[in-house]
Amino acid sequence: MLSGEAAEENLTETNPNSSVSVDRVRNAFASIRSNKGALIGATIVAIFAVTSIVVFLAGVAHIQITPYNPLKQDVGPPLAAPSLAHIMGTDQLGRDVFSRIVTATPNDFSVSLVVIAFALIVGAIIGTYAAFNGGLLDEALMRLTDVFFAIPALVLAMAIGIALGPGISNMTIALMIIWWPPYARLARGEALKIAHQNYIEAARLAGSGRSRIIVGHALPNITLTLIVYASLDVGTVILVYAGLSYLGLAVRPPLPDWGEMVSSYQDFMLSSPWLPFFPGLVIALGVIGFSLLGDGLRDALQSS
Amino acid sequence: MSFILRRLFLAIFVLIGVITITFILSHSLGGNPIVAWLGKSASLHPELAKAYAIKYHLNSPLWVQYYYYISGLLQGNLGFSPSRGFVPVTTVVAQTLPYTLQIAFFAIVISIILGVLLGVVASRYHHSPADKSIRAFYLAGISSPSFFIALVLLIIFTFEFHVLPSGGAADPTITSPHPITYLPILDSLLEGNLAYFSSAMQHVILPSMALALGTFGVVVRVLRSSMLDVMRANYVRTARAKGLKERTVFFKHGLRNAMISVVTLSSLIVTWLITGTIFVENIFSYPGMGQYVFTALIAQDYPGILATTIIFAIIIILSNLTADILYVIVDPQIRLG
Amino acid sequence: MEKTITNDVLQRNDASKDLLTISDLTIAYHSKKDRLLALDHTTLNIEKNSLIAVVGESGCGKSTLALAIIGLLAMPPAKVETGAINYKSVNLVDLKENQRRQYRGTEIAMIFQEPLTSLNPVYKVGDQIAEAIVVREHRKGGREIDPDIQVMQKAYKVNTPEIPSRLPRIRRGATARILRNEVLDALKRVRIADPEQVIDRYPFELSGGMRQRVMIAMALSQKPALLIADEPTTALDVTTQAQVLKLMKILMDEVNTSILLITHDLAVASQVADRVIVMYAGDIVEDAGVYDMFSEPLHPYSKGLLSCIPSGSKDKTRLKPIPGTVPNLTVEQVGCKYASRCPNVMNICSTKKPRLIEAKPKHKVACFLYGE
Repeated sequence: MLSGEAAEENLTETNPNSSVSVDRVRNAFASIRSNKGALIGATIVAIFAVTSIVVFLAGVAHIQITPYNPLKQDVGPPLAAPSLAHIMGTDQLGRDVFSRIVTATPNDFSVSLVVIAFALIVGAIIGTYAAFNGGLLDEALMRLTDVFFAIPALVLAMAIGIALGPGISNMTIALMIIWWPPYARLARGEALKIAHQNYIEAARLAGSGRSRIIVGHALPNITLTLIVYASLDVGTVILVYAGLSYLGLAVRPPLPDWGEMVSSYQDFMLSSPWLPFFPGLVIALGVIGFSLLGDGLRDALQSS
Repeated sequence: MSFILRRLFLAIFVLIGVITITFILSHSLGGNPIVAWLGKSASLHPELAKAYAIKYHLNSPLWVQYYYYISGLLQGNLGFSPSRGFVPVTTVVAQTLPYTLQIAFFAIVISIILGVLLGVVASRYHHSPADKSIRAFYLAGISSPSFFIALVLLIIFTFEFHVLPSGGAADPTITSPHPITYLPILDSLLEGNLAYFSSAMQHVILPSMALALGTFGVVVRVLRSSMLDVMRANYVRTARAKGLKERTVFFKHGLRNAMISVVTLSSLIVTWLITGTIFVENIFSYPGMGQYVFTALIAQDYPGILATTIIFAIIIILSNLTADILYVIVDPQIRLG
Repeated sequence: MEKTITNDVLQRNDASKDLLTISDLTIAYHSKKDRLLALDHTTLNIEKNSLIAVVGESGCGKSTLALAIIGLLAMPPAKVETGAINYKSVNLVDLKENQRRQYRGTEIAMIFQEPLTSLNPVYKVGDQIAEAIVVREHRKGGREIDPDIQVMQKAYKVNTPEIPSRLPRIRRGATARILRNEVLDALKRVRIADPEQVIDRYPFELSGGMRQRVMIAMALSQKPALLIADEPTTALDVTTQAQVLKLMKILMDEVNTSILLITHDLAVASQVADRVIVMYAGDIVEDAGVYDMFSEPLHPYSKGLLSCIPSGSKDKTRLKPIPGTVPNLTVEQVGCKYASRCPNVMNICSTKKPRLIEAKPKHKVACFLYGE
């Protein structure tokens, strides 16, 4: 609690007359590099990303990159404990657990990114238009988000899921439907704040039409805030998707998926506790990675 | 006061919105809306199916159906549950809701106590190793799926150390208490049925912990940041200038203000808890609504799922209202400003 | 173990006219890279029953001075490098926090600039004043006990309250009445017209002027010998400003309290001060009675400040700002800190630092123009 005297006069104030500054982004990167937590998060996310891409490409090219074929049974004795041959042991059908976990990486990763990207884009557009146009669209948006907030994401996704039928794509669609309202609300809030700032007025006076103002000036700034929120939200999508997968709504066996693996290995936890532990752990790690990265991003952008 | 009224109107509106959604969903279940009331095996009960079709005007235009849907709900008709032997869904809900409420209660209590405790410590010693390890701890908690936490607890406490029982709400050989409040744990306490009480407590502690470990993290995070802000506030400086002990300043002036931000969290916590019960109750074989949803899903018991969606929404709406009321009590600026 | 200050220690040396003496006080803020010199060998006296105004621009060290006296400086970044603060023959600088705290409120009180944020938003103002009174009562009794706001809240609303046995001097049953009356008295003392209403209000329900009166009431209810007011009127509009200043002057005599008024506004100082001390960049540059200061300022900086004040006279000359900027206090300064901006600068000013000397009776100045 320093006395106000000691602080030097802040000569660089935020200029309300400028829009997004490149300096903010540059400062953000510097801040992330110095933040240990964010670095760990970034590393984890990078590992997941690379694994996903590699697994996907390998799948397309029909190359096996995992130590064992994830679908092949009896590559080792069933329910074997972790060993050098099988880093995470084998499951009840003798399949290598590690290979299955690696192969399942693209599922959670891609679903969460697709859902978030969709929510971000749709939410930003709808929210900004609602803020600038006001009136009925605005009210409708607010009420819609209120209704969506009253039902837990998992339950709603589940309900929509059973209407659509199980499967990864259907679950992704269900999640996309329910995920965008908070983003629209956030975008609306930010848009309302920005609407009164000087550079918007300047653009309006210069004769830019409403759409141009929105797209050219408002959206870039709003997107930044939404991205920060999104980076912390990715973890949540992963958890919800893992839950849906656990409930059997996502992937059909014998294809591997982390949530589903925990569910089916649960029955063997007495004899082989590592079995449900590893896929669960990997889910947690993924979420931790995105959370740390998100925190780092938020700190970086807030201090700039 | 008008604040509360506004919230009430919003709550009712939201409920209608939720019901509309379930209505839409009940018509998306592949053709025959009967499925929404009687499940997939509706064809096995032609009489009942016909009665329903007439009562709910399932052959009339959508608007009419909507009206009868809502009036049916208001009369307490949520359909019949095929996964539970075709008893009315309302019966199943009545049987399972109390158990879920028990778990939710303890989970919230543990979550808040743990969260506030750790949040206070983390803010008092911020940037110290203690602060960092608290952060690591709660990060692990909120990042882990609830089924993972539940499994880990189950494995450690029940299988390895044989400390706590693994299934059910209480030892079935002990007599259950008479239904006074319909909450078994509370009833057993009121009745003096300590055998049941102790057994029930042993059975409820692990599932509640599993849920609490997933949610306490947000409380820690919010309280820590709130405490850091509050302890820098001018009124804290004034309190010190009055000569108050630091402990008084910290709790009477600091924590009291920081807790206000925890109230806003409660709706988030309730949402997470509801989602969590679906997995946790199943893993611990605890006979609550979460387990009902789980089994209903596997059995494609659509009436069960749609009905529980509405019930969950009601629970969340009520908890939001409670949070709003708490907010009014705790923050005079909302009350009077 | 808590040491309490008993009455006889405080009453010793009552004979001297000085209440508080600051001698050679140097305080610096240490960060990882820098050392910022906030107070540079400061020396000043505060007499009993007088109002001293400390005037200077932002960053001159006046707030640091105020916080140092009451002991609210965060001591990890801040450090007392030399000097002493002598209050009633005790050097406050030497005291440990527990002992230091005994002086806060009941001996030395402080009110701050922002009355809205300086009052706790969730407690009624009456309760906050009551809290201060209870601190006073407990210290009088020789035992320091935690005042419990909620106990008091209930206490003065109920006729026969549950009074914990922790209040040795106040008779049970009387506490409710006594406390409430004391709070009402405190509010009346600051000339609040309807204390019965105000006592149950929350800070945000009151106007800025009212809030500042409440702060003054709260501070004075502890019967301090010295009240430090850090820019108390800066956040108020001009009319309210005048009212509050007048009030403080009146109260000073009624309650037997000295006031140390911190301000950047010379006009404010001129209205109420007995003596004016001008500070610049951590140094005291001039210390004089109010009439002397305004009729015949000696230090070039004081003269510059006076010429900055817009006067209501018909003279339409332009305001003369002082050219240049304050020096960087993290860098070691050689010679007079004002040299770079001084219109009367001489060679010696950049080599030696001027001491505070008594150029005229009761008029001190630190400037080579008046000798060494």
